Amino acid sequence: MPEVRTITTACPRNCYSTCSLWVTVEDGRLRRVEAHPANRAAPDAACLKGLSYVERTYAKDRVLQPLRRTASGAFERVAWDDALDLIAGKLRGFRAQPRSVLFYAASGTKGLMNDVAASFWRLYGGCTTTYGDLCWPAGLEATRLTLGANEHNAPWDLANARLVVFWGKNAAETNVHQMAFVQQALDRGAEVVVVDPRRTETAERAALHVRPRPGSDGAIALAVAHRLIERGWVDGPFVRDHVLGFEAFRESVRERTPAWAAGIAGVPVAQVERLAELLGTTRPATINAGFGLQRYTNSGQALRAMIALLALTGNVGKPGAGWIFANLRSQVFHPVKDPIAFYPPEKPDGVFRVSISTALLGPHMLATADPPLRMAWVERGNPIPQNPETPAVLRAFRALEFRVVVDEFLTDTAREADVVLPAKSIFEQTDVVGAYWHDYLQLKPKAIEPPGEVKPESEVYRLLAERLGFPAEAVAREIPGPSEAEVEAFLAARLRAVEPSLTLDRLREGPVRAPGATDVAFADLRFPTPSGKIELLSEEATRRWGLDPLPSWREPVEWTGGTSPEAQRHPLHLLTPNTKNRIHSQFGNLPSIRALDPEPVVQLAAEDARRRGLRPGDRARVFNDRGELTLRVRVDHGLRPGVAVVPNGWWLSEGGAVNLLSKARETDMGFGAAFHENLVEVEKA
Amino acid sequence: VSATPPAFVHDLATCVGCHACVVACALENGTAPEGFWRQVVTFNEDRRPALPVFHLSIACNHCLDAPCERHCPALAIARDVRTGAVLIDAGRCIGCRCCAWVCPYDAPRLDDARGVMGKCTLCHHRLLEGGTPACATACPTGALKLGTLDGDGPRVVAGFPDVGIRPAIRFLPLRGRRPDPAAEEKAAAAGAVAPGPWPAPPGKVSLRSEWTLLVFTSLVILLVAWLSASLLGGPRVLPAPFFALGAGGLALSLLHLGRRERAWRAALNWRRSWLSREVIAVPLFLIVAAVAVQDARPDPLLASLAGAAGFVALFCMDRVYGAMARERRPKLDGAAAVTSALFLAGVLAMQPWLALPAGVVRLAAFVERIRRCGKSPGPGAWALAVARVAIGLALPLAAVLTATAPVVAVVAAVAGEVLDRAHFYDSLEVTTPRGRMAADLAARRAEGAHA
Repeated sequence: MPEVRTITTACPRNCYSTCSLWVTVEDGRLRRVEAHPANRAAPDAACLKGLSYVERTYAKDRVLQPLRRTASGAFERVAWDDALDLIAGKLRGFRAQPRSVLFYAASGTKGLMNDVAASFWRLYGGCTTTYGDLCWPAGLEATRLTLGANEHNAPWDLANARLVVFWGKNAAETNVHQMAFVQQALDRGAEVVVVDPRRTETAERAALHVRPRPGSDGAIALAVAHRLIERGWVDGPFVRDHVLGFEAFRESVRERTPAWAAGIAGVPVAQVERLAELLGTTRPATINAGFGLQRYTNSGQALRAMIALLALTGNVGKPGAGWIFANLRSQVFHPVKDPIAFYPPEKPDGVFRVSISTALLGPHMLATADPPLRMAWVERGNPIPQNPETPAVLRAFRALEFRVVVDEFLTDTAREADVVLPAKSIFEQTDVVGAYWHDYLQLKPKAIEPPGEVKPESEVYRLLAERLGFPAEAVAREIPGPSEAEVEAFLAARLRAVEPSLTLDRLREGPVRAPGATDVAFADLRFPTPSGKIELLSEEATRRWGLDPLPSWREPVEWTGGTSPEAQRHPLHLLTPNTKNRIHSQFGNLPSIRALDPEPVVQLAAEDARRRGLRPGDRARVFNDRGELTLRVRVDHGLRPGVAVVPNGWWLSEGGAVNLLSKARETDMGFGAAFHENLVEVEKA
Repeated sequence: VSATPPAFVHDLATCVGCHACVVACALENGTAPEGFWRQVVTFNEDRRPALPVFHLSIACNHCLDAPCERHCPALAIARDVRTGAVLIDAGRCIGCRCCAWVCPYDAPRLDDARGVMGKCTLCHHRLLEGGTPACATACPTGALKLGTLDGDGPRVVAGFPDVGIRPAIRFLPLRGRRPDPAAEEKAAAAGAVAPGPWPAPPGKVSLRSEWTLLVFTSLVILLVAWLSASLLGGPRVLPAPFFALGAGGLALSLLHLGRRERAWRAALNWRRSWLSREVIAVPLFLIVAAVAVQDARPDPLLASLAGAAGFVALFCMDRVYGAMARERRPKLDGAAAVTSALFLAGVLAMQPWLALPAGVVRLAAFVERIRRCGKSPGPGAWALAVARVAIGLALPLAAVLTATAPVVAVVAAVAGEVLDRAHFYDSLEVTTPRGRMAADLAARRAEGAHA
């Protein structure tokens, strides 16, 4: 009989759901992945990606030993000792100027063990790192400025809503477990509104689907506010007691009529009015903004305007009501919560140089001087295709003398490396993960031995620290040893520091809600803002970001609403959403995923395709002055005309890297990447 | 089978088309991507206005009147009494794909590596341990469950083929969707409703994949016609080429099988399967014919017997395709092989009384098939149609009626019949969820256009 073990673990991918999993291990081999029902946010099942972990862990193309680039440019397998000696030799050389080394880590795998990297680089004498983030900072900052904290009601509370507005979020693909709660709400008679230029799977559930011009969401929100005030759909007592700046806001939206917004957004006036009517007359109401629509140069302000709608109608701090963007209650391990953690330090610590904006990675790397960058260490990320302006990122990496990439697969970034080190899978080292939709802390125990010669990153750092002669005492303190007991002791200490009752044994049973977590956020109606109220008027917005203290709308840099020559030459707005098949550039290489999603495509509205003589299945060039892609055409009759959609996550080597077309720009607040603000033209290839 | 056998309960409102069921099935059952047992078929995939978008998660429905079980020539498919699952026994399957042709749900898939058919087992092994199928376990929105047929919900929805075989699935319909008329009008005004071409899904059976069957069946038709013609005063059967062609045809038919060493099993289901009957009748015809044509002057009784066996074989052959098409009313094509052999026999024997009526039936069948295809034929199709009628029918009939140029007549008639048979295979359509979905969508759009 084979030895069969069932292990409770968690998926650490950058995904809303952060599922709790039961994995079955048979004779040391992963066999099955199922959902752990104790996670109330995702009790029924994982997703196709979670299921594909069995395939991913044992994939033929997984990197199982260190690889070194040879003189001919190909990779050869090398022993760990040789790879580490080579890297240690380079690091010794750069140590006179440690900031000539860039440490770049993205969101590929969450977990506390990732902190070992920072400890290593601190012992090294520092390095250069990034600030900001690709994903969500504009929304985090908009929420922080308005509500004081990024917290929201528990996922299952959505079933209590009578109105759910999905603003630029396609939960059916990016947060599939939320759809169970949406259906519960619908079955109880709730209405769903979707604001999205695409007719998404989520929009199929909507009673009202508004398809605005990309970049115009803020205008719609302001006009809805105008209408709420005009029609007297404002919760007066709530506003009086809990909202700062109502009078000023009312004045500022006096001219922001539905007709004004409809002109900007290219939608019927009646739809704007209907959205206002629904928000004004339905209680409780929840607005859930996605991440895509806050990757614009005007989007932080747009999200502030959306939160204002909930403040005006008193839809905060109640069951079924509120603002859902990101729930950082389980982010309990770092001294400062996001998004401030993303800002460059106001007082540099003298060790790290935090000088490169993630949104501007390529241009900033190239411009870095004194000292210039000579080496990069990349882990948990694939920045070449995934960061804005891929050509600049590629140029910046190629300009370096030495590159180390730690990954499970030969991504576009790994292919540029001098040394590729194999990364652990999620099952090969114990760790603790938080989430950003529900509030569970979860243990992710080691379930299988790493295959091949794979070593966890903490072990790689420890071996390098030894080679570099870091003080043994400091290494022993900062970097756990290779045994399970040492890793667990490291994690247990971190947990204890947060809350004494948080023990590994408790987490071993299943997901544990973060200390202080409740189902309803801001239930006490106390907001950790400077005024203690919901701040429609934020002085910090002006002080920190130079923006209007009130939510307002301005034209994006690139959009189809303008009359610039750029908009004439490239009249389509490019959207690069995520799909259910990937987490950014992960998973797409697996055969079962590839079978469902065989090639990158460009989706066009019927009239845009017809005007260009394109039929379904044709190949077309998608281009602007920055680059081009040649992709198969899919005609989508539900797509707003004037929008071209290329799902992101395809690699350069697969011919679908969308950031060949994007421009490196920052969002209006939070140091996010405004990389959904790109115009393109499409023509037959 | 227990009183209430298990059935899938599929909630169309909560299914978001996430494919977790597909991947869970593949993982549980170790199927390769090209042979996934479960598929998600989407209605209105290109999101035309005023029609909903929804998904069917489809695998084997373990039908209570399972055609795969009934028609499997190798008796490799049976219902398990403990779980109600219809199962393929990989140790008995010969990989003939008959089950795939008679299944309207596209459930049986060829396992290329093993040369046998595979399909959803209802996760029989998990059910026996008290579990549920992997697909239902893996559904994040609870849209796919295992229950029973006792309960509410339609048994048939758009895109789901209903051919009266009692599939063990019921649906919970779309609900709570109230598309906004203003948005729909706006979408319509944006020009999105201009009816563009709906790309037809690729057929499951194609000439390219079934060329061995085309050659095999054509050879048997030719040999039956030759033997019959010899009885009507036509050219004498020459044993050597006759058997070379017969043996060649049989050998080619083996190529169609995934497991050739088990070819003998194809005869086992003679009680119910027309394919089994064909598999018995064709060699029987060749054997009786072999005995009959040994003599330069064959015994007429024996030769007639051989001819009769031949027509029985052709009748069985026609019925195989009839079962596949699941025709309610008999079609002229339903006797394609029999009438083809009669026409060729008439031409070979230069007998107008046989060639003329048979030729007329062949022409009618061809016209009917063209009409049924419904597609507007391109120039290539027109050329083929003209060639089929002019060379394959008009020319030989003219020769037979004027009793001239018998060799030209025979060559032209054979060419015409092969062309016709190729067209027959090319236009064979097996019902699939994908095909039915496209047809239902086209119908809904036509309704909309008239409304």
